[in-house]
Amino acid sequence: MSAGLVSPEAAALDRGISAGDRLPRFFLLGLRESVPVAVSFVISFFAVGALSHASQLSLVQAVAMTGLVFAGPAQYAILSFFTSGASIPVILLSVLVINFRFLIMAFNLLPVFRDVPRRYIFPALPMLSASTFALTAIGTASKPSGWDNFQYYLGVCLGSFPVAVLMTGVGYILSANLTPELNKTIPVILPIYFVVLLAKDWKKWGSLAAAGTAFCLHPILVITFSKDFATLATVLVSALIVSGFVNLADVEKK
Amino acid sequence: MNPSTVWITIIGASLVSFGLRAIPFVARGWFKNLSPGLTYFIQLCGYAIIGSMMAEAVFSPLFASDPSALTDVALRAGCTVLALLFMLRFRRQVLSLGVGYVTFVVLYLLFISGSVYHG
Repeated sequence: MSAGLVSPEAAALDRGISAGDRLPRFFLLGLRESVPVAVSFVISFFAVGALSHASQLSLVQAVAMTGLVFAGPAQYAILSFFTSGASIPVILLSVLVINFRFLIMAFNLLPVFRDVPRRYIFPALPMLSASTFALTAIGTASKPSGWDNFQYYLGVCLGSFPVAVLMTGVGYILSANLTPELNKTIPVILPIYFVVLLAKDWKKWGSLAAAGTAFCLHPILVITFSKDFATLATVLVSALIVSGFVNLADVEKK
Repeated sequence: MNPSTVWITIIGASLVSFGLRAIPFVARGWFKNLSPGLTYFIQLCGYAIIGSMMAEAVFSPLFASDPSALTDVALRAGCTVLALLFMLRFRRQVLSLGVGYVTFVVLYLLFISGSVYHG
């Protein structure tokens, strides 16, 4: 091969595909690492299905909402608005406010999915949620290329998104109350798992500081204001504080 | 409930959600010219979202005015902090997620034991 051209085999190796692999290895890695997220979705979307049943949606409507919206907090809000009889514009405005964090998440994924054509990214975007984003943001830190990161993201999404849709249907059909023990223990899966992932980035003190600042600030803002305002405010204020310290440190070094 | 109202709402919510996810990618070329400082700020926002999610899960009993809130929150926060200390102490050994999973399982079992003991 002449200089500057890469053989198909070398290009395949660069993208995590080796001879004999039927699926790219970063896709399989994402699939494997999505297991705790899928476990947490079992319970959280079971509850969404049960609540959809109580809100008098049909099974198809309940499953479609998870498949098309795929945002637990927004879905809970939509269901409560259905019960209270709110108008469609009010509901959609609430969804806009609650899901505004998706805009920030997508900004974060711009460099992660560098060089991946948009025609591949857009069909995968409905599977972007807070959990799949968190796993992708941390799990792709050391991956060499945008394609590798995108494979990893697809693995994470395809390991967890179908579980969410399926469990919405199961929860709707069974509509049983979860035991208090399950209710108490399942929510702690994700924070412990995310701590484990964040600790792998221990050298990036600014990133850990932003996560830690948000962790401490969030409950204060929720108690002081409302939950939806608190999430957006927490994110922006935490990032501002840490980036301010970083700039100060850079100025002092000079 | 009127089925057409429900479907209009679901489709409207899905368009809103998809739009929020897609806007940065639609204007990707423009956002390539962001300053390094702004890019770093946005990256920090991503980690702050993770911290906010963790806080939501740990402190949710407090937000729900649960009578046993403080003990529940203490258990969740304790397990989370233990996980962080363990992972930072053995960070050089954490070459794969295997050690992380072991940590996660041990601490989760500790949490369940604490909940059962408390309950």
